[in-house]
Amino acid sequence: MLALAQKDIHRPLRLHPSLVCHEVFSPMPRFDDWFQEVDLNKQISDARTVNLATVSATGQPSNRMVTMKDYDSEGLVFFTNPTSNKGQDLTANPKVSLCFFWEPLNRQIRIEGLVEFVSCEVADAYFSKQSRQEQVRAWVSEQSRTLDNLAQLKRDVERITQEFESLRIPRPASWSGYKVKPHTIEFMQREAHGLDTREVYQLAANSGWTRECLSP
Amino acid sequence: MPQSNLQMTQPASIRNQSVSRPAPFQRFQDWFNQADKHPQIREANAMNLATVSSAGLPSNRMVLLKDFSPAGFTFYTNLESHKGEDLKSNANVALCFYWEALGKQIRIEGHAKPVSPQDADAYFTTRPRGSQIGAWASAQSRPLDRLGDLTVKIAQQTTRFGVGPIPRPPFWSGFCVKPRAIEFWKRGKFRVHSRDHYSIWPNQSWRHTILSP
Repeated sequence: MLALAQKDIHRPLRLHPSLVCHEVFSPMPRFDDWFQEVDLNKQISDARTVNLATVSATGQPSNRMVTMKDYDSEGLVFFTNPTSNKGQDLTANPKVSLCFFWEPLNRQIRIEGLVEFVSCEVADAYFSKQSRQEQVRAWVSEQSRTLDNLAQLKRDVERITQEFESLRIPRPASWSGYKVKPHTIEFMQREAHGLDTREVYQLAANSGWTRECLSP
Repeated sequence: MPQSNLQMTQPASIRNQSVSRPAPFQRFQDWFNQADKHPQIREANAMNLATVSSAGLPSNRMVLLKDFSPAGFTFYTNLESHKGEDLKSNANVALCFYWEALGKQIRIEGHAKPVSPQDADAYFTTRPRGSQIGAWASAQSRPLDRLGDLTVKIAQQTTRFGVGPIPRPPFWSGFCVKPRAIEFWKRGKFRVHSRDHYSIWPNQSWRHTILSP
């Protein structure tokens, strides 16, 4: 894990030392290159927005947008409430996939891997860097539960804001971090002639990363 | 610019009656139209499709919505691709539209059913000639030794069909996703987003709930 305290989690450093790969074919430096380029593009409001697919215990997939809060040579980090629908899916099945789609650049990155919890210390470090509004929100919502009305939720936000006043807001247990450790990463680029260039990196047990091109 | 001209098609059983469309479909049409007209959204019909392998591993990618109706949401693919293989062992899928410029997201969970050969043929004939040749030339998701190989295959298929009509490849067709649940997500101030969830009951009626964001 990176030394998070020294890192601006909203704008990860270019080629953090942990991204200088030891294996020739590790795809993370390439991920870093693409991400940094996208992040500078004015047409993309938040390059970190990514589609996360999870699978329920009964085999039903579901997908939604989440925010990738960080990445390093080991994987990609997002936060959610473990009791939400996706949290429950992750408890039943830690296999996930991620899909970044940056339309203005005609690029897509697809990742498959396994999630694991980040440590409490690491989660605390991330939480302390969230805006106060987001910290308050983390205390309020019972994510994915049915709600009688939205007005109630807004009142709760006000109440919690007043309760904490100017105090430091600790991380609620409902705000947990997950790290996706990839075993497959695919880079897709739509070319002028309409076909995609697809390059896929795969991690094989004990033999490191391999890379090949796929038919579009 | 209006890009897709996608309008809800209705099965004859519904079309000939004066009953209104189920609420989530009407709402889908409204949100979709709004996205389709938005100048910053190039392809309003781009959606993320999640499938699951026989080993329980999900994968997701962007595909294009080509039709929708109360019967479901239709997309087309090479049947021997990664997603085609997934669908053979698990027909449960999820779809996610995300229109960042509108702050809106629509999530759909359901069951993918192959479209009829007639429907697939009808759609295939509307595709540009280059896409029709591409469907024959590309062994989707399978390894490619050199990028030049694809150019050669495209040239071969172009020669093969000459100027005649190009039939639909037998390994290329569509799926219609019949929804069990549809959620409408709208970005809110202070991260208080709104989430309207519709789920289908055994009697085929739709139940509406509001979820915590």
